[in-house]
Amino acid sequence: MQAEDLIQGIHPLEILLLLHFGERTSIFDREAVAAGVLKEAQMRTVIEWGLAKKTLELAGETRESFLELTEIGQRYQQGAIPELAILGELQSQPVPMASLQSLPEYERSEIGPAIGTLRKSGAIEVVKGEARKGENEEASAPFRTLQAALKEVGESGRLPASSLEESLLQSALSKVNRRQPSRGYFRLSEEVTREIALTPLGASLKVLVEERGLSGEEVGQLTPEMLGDGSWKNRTFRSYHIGLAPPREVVGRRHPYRAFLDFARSKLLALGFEEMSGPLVESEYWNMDALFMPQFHPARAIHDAYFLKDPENPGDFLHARDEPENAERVADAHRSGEGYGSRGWRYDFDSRRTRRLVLRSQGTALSARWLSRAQVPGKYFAMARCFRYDRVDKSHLPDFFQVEGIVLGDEVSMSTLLGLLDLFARELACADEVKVLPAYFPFTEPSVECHIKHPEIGWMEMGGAGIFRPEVTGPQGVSEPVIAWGLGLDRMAMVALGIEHIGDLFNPNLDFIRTKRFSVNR
Amino acid sequence: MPKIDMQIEDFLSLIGESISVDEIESRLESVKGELDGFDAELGVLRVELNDTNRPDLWCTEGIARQLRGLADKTVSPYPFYGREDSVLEFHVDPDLVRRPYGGAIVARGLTIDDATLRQIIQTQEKLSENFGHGRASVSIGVYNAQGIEFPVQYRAVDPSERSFVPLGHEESMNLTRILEEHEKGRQYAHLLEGWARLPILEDAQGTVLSFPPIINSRAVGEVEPGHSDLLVETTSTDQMAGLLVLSIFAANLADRGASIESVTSVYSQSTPRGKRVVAPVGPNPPIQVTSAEAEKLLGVPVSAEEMVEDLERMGCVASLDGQVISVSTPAFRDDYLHAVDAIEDCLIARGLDRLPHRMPRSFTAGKASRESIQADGVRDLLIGFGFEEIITNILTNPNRLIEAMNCTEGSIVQIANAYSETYSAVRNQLLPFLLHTERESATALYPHRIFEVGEVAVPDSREDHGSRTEQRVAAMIAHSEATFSEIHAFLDQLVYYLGMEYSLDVVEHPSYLSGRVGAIRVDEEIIGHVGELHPQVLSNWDIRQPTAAFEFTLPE
Repeated sequence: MQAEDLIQGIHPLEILLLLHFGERTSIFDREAVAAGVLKEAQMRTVIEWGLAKKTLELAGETRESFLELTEIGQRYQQGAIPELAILGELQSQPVPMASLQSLPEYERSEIGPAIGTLRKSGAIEVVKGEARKGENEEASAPFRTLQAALKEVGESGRLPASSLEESLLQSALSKVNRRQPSRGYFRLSEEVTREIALTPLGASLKVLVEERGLSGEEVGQLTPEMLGDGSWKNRTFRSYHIGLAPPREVVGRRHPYRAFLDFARSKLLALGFEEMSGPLVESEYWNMDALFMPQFHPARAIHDAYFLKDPENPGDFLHARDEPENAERVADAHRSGEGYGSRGWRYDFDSRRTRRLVLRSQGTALSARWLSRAQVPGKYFAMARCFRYDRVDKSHLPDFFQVEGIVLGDEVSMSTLLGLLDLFARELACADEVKVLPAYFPFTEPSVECHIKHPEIGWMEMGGAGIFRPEVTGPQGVSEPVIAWGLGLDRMAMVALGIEHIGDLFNPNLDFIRTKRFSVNR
Repeated sequence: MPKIDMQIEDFLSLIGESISVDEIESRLESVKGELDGFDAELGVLRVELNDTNRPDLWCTEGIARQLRGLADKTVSPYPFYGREDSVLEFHVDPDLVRRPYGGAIVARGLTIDDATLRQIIQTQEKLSENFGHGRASVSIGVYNAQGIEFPVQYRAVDPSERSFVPLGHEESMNLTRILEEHEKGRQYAHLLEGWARLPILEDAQGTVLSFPPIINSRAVGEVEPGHSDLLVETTSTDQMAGLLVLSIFAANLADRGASIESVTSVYSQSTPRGKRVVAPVGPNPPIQVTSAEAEKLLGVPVSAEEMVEDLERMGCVASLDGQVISVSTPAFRDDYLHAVDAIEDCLIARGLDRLPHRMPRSFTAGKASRESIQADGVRDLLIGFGFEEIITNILTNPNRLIEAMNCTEGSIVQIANAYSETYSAVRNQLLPFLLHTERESATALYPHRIFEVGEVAVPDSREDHGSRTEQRVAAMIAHSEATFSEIHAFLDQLVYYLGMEYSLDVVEHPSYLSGRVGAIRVDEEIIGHVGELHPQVLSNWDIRQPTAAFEFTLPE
């Protein structure tokens, strides 16, 4: 650290201390506090800062004992210690013990021990219930010494022990109660005085402070009062050390994965797509039958979709209550294809199975639902939570977002489908290179999969698409060609968020979430 | 999707060309295949096939056949499909009502080595497991044909009536014992559950060939290198599927140099294809397609002549009559259901590259769904209030929704075939997921203010699907001084800005502290709760911070 760096965030208290050095190279902290430069606590803090910043160093340390009066001591100083009060009563004649016990300024508990002490020292004698002065005048001298010590300490308030005459000091120390200080007459305390010296760095800092004319009177915080009375005009404001790390704040924020999904969603909306929505619990009809997936299709096996159980009838599958719209036409498409220019799948279509309930296993279920009510021309999309029977691992989630949709219109063809995939690649993945390969989906023909050159990860599969089979569109009353498309955005999201494990898209640890960010800077 | 292993030498000799692995990978695109890996040391290509409707491509011979066609532009037709009759017969017992179809072909003059045998076994496995649904709809047997005397009998017998030595065993076993003790018997016994009499395949002399669909006999049902004549049979619940498999085997074995002999299945009852069915069957009935349909679907000008040429390269028989193309797939394919299937073949034959990329021109207006607009609005408000959004999985363990929330019962959509208990229920509320987040975030800087807006499923017998999908919002605060009044203040603001009027009913709720919980009432309906979480709930979740939350259903 250089003095130039330190001057940036220098605190007013530091300035005051530095200026207090004047021409001296070292000072005593107590002396500076006594001079009113800083309060004691401030002094401690500023010295700690200085030692940490290496502007100050410790040149020496002295310890000193101080005496001050306790509450008892103060009372005895203002009046007299009980021993001297008793001696005063006995000055002219003996006094019965009983009347000594009731001296007005003292408690009985003070008088009793005092009489004992006086008798023991020989300062008084007790004969036949009467107390009288003792023969030896000198016997009362220690009590006067103690009273003198009380006077001296009491008058200065707080006195270095070393400044008391030896006899007074000894007398005072005899009345210090170390276990219970408040029960003694005097309180003894120790003080450390530190000698603080400027280091060369501190000396240069002090020069800078002087050069810049800093006074330590600069204002830390602008207050409503200053603004109210205009006093800010006469103040200078202390500069902060703005290079320091700020404190951490807890802030409200969209989930980073949501930010990514919202980005994709806003793109699709901007491209003229209308958003579809539908239930999490689907029938096999919309999830599969309406998509012309034959009931014997491998992807319809028990190990590919989640079926639901009736809570009241465990072990059985739950079924939808009502037959869905166009169900007979879909059945015909499967059985014979008649009416749709098709040979159909030619099998025994089970109409009861259409009502079996599943968790939506593909977003295309929404497209199927939307077909019969879609506008032509029309473009639709959904970001639907889907569920697939799978082991949960590095690349599989129990449920995940699928981005799917349809495009209807008389101009729809494989050529416009390829144009659309280019558009998605450019807008959603910022990829210019697209490669399209033949693919197979039961509900589209032709079908393709689309690979793109992602700017960060290179070639990757972006999604699949195709033209819905007439056996899909026909039964729902759609005669125009329909593009069906689906995008795998999770991998892109993982790259955008710097995530290795797909489960981290849903990581529940706030510490983790708070480190992740998605920004559109493309 | 089936994955197969191909021996690169075998594959190259079948396509009759020497091409690089990269070139192979690129050509696999036209069979919708992906190169999954290449073991250069063993010379094995691992290929995943994506077309579930083209089982003829799930083998080295089939892939090679299509690539040969695409390269040569000519495919010599197989002469053995659709013969009128045959001297060899396969008799089907009418008692086999639950697996009523059977058929066979014979291939002679093969040179079977290790590699060929592996391919035959692989094809048998892929077709019976994937196409035949784990042997349920079709199972396949391959035998050394030498010594088998025709007619072959597919009969129903009493389980203890017949015994034979099954593959993989030394001693003779009866059918009941095979189902109970043989590895394959136990694996596939469910396919014969409830059968009083069991199927058996034997030759004219009564020698057992196999116990379909379970296991072959060791004597004739174990093909070994050096054998030259094979009998391939299928038994099935689906006549066409069984015949298709025989057609695929016929083409595959013919490609390896065998001459194929037909076998007539003789039924005493009528079947969709009659009482006498000669395998391998003839090509499929033609479908009609016009170039106009192709132009419409592809979006480019297409000539009918070109289409005929393309279809022939794909192995089909196509002819042009005026504007109408009549096309039938070879007998080993049965994937043309509609003209669009033929058009896709034309597209693949010619290559996707030839299509222009055109932007759709129609104007359509983008529009967010009601649900999204609503969810966005709630999110914006809560984020403005200083809350952090979380996103959680919808599937969960039912205990999290009930016991962990200090409840004794709850109405939940549950999965019948859960993969694991951890993901066996659909969430019916969001709050447990906020608590889970809190538990996992004890070291994250406080205060915690988190929320989620998302879908839940609530059972409802009045609904067609037995449940409703609801959109909900849940928000939670956790810090050393979190109280009802703090969360209530946020609820109050949120509801105000959503334009709703609400009141709180004093209620008891086991998830919340008594006296510090309210039911949120909007338009005479309770839509959710707000309160301080019950210490028992916090303890269940191992949470050490006072926590208060609200959750309610967003109105439709």
